[in-house]
Amino acid sequence: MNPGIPIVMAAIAYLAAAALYGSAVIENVSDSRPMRLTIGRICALVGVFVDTSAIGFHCIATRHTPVSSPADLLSATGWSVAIAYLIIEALMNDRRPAALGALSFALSFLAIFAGSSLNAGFPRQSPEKLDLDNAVISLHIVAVLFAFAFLFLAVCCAALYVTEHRLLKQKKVAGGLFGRLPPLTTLDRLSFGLVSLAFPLLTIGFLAGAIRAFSTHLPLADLHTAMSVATWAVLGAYLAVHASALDRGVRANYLLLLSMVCAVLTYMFQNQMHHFA
Amino acid sequence: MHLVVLGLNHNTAPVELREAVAIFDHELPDALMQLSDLAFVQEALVLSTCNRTEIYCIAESAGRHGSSSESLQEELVEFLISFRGVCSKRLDGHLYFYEDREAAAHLMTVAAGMDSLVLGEYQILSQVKAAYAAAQAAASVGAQLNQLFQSALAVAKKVRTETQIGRGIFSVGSAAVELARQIFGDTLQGRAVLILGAGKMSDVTARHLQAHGASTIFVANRTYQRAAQLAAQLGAGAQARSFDDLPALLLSSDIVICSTAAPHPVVTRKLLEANMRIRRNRPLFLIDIAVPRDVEATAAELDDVYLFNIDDLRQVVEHARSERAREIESAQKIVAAAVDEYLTWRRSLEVAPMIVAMRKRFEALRREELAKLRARLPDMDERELQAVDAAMSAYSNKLAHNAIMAIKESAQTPPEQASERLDALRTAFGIETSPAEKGSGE
Repeated sequence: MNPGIPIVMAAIAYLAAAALYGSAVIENVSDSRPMRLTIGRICALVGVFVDTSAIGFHCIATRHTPVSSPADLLSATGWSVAIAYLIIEALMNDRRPAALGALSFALSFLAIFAGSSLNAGFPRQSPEKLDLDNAVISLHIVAVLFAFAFLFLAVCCAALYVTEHRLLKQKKVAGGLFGRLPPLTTLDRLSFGLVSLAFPLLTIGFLAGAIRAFSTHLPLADLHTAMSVATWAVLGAYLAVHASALDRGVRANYLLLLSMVCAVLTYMFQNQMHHFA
Repeated sequence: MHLVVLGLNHNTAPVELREAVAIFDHELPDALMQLSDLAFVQEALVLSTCNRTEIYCIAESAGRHGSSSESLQEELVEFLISFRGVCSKRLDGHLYFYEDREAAAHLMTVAAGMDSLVLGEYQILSQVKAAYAAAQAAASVGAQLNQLFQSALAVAKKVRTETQIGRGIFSVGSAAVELARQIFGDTLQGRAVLILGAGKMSDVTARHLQAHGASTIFVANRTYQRAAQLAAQLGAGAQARSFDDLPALLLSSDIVICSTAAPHPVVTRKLLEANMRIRRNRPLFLIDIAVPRDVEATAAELDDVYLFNIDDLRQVVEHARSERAREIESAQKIVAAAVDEYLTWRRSLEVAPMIVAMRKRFEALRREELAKLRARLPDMDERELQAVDAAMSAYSNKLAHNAIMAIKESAQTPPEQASERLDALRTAFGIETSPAEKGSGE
């Protein structure tokens, strides 16, 4: 079977999940008719299962990590965002954040779609130098991948927060999107919780990366690393101001949106050193 | 049998007249008894709320007591006049009278909240249930009104679950709750509410917030006594505070309802600016329902301060109303289907006497023919006679079965067609039923 087929199937499942969650938000049916959300979740779970299998088979077949090229990295990001959202949804006892689900699965679809549109980008390493067998590299990859997944979810929450805040300020509260989004305080709590997960994971990822760089005498200073550190710093600042309650509410959420800019730049400034075959 | 309804409501009568004809709960047994005593009334029920008074009756068909639609209406009006002591001229032009299909549709529309002052409000459903329970207790309802009211309650539930008509915002108070929930979460548990100015609107809005979980309520008023009075009315969790404590109260509150009679803003931007710094940007929801306004308009520019005045809230209510109005068509379809179902059931009930007459006719024929046979063949022994009787019984039962099926099928067709078919069957089988037994159709 063509290895690209399962990835396409996963992307379609994510797109279906995003559409179902999105329609539930638009029609505001999450309270009375959760069937649509249940089907959406099943689609997402199918997507994650197919995606995980595809990544697993890819790793076994090629003996390469799932981030051996920019295309692989985007594809893996889509997978990790979907998993991160499903974890958050399972942890939330109250009303499901359908709007966040719609954004998350749309992001997963877009990441896989963008990944499949890219060329491999970087030449693969020779099989005798396999990063897949290196525990430090594995830790670095998993930690950073999920740190960014949680960060993307937190940024989605921040975007929803800012949207709802602006609707309230402009008094556009009659119909439209207002009333279909989760409450402001829920979004604020959720984004804080997600960053609280993302920040330590990113820190672990950095430490593992630094250990690897020192042990192999690789240079640490490049744009990719610089933007990662900037992302980490912005998240740290957000946590500090939020935890100490010096600032929260809309300004803290703008800060979170800034971290998205850093994260996107991190993805843009790819180099050979940060792709692990 | 006729289903009729006579009544008035908020669309047809002013509040003074509605008050004058309202039948209170304690008067219902007496009213129902008097209605049941009327010669033409077989079943009766009274629905009386602040917005409507309606009398539902199953009345005998036209002709028997000379009770045409007009005379039925006149007798019910007379009852209302004598029971309430209202001058008949006051009622002129304010009453409506519906029969059969219109009457059934009217009740279902009322129960579904489609005829309410606030479209889709759900209080009417419990009022319909209470009226039905009162009539059941007074034994003034029988099979027909039982079926009708059970159908109406089922329709109301269906309309509420299958359409958006019962959802959304119904008043300024519920608009405030919706906005608060959108800011603070689905439950307002643990949120503190500050009421500035102990007016009626503040009271109502605070009660809405309280019903959704707001646990702490501070009431501050220029007159401390009035604040204490309102706090006592709001019950546990409400406490009266001095108006001078305003800065401290703003710090510990999440939602502020302002309705003082002050001629100038009592909550200024400067005060809120200082306050938001100390409360570390915890969101503050201000509901300013005072005219002139109590909160300086520029305070809305502050981050994490959400200020809504009475016009903003009214706009929310009006939008919700228009959203619900869009659902009317779907709700009407549900009502129409239920009315058809009820009328079909009624028609099947109305052909019951015809079926009984048909069975009697076949039985009489069987006995007559058996007697003739016995006279003609006197030598027939008992065993032979029994065999002939059994054969005739089986024959007449089979014939009657087909005829009964035809009657039942005819009853399910539209009224005019049903009437024609039933007449044809009566002629064909030589059945005679009294006018009452024939049924009035619609």
